Amino acid sequence: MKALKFILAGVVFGIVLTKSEAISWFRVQEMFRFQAFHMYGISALLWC
Amino acid sequence: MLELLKQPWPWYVSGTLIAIIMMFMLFAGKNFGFSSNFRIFCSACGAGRKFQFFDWDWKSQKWSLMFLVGTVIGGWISANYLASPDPVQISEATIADLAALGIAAPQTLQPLEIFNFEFLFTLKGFIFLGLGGLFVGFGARYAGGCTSGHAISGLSNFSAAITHCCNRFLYWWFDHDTFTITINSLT
Repeated sequence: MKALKFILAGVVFGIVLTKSEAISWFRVQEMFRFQAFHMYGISALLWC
Repeated sequence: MLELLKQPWPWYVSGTLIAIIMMFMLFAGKNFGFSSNFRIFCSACGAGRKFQFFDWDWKSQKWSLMFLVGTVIGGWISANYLASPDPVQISEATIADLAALGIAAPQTLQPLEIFNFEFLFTLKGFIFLGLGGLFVGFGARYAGGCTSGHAISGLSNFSAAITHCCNRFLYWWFDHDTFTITINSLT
């Protein structure tokens, strides 16, 4: 039961990472070149 | 509804959802993190018999493996049922920069010329994917977390060492083109 909780959290996390394109090599390149706010927006929300 | 889900999600939606997952982890008394799984894998495979670093109570971290399993399932669901018909929408500036390095504009989420087995077995591909992966994996454990882990958990804790690290990293990054060009001229 406890394991299921973490698996479900993982499923949501996996879908979010994919759909937000945070797993994309292109997005990471864009982030480190400071050419878009996208990735910084995601992490900025986490710092709040 | 499904059509809406299939589009790439804006950063404020994803950021909020990840923040909720982090809060869930905090309330469950866990540390949100991913690269710690490398250490758990090694310990689970018996590395603890030879190295003290891997000789610890990894079974208490099983939840972390469950989270990892869930994430893989989530990725699979996205790829099979929620995939966006369009390639990742990166900025024109990035597309131009990458074209100068010989990387074509996105067709899917990842660059096809880098993430394939044929490329892995060339010298350049082995340095990029094999050696690079080894360094990242080792470094992530040596530093107690990966880049994104430190950037997210570390910065929100205002950890002095980590803020310093991120500064160094950004500083280093400005110089990274030299490195990329060196790698490119190898083959």
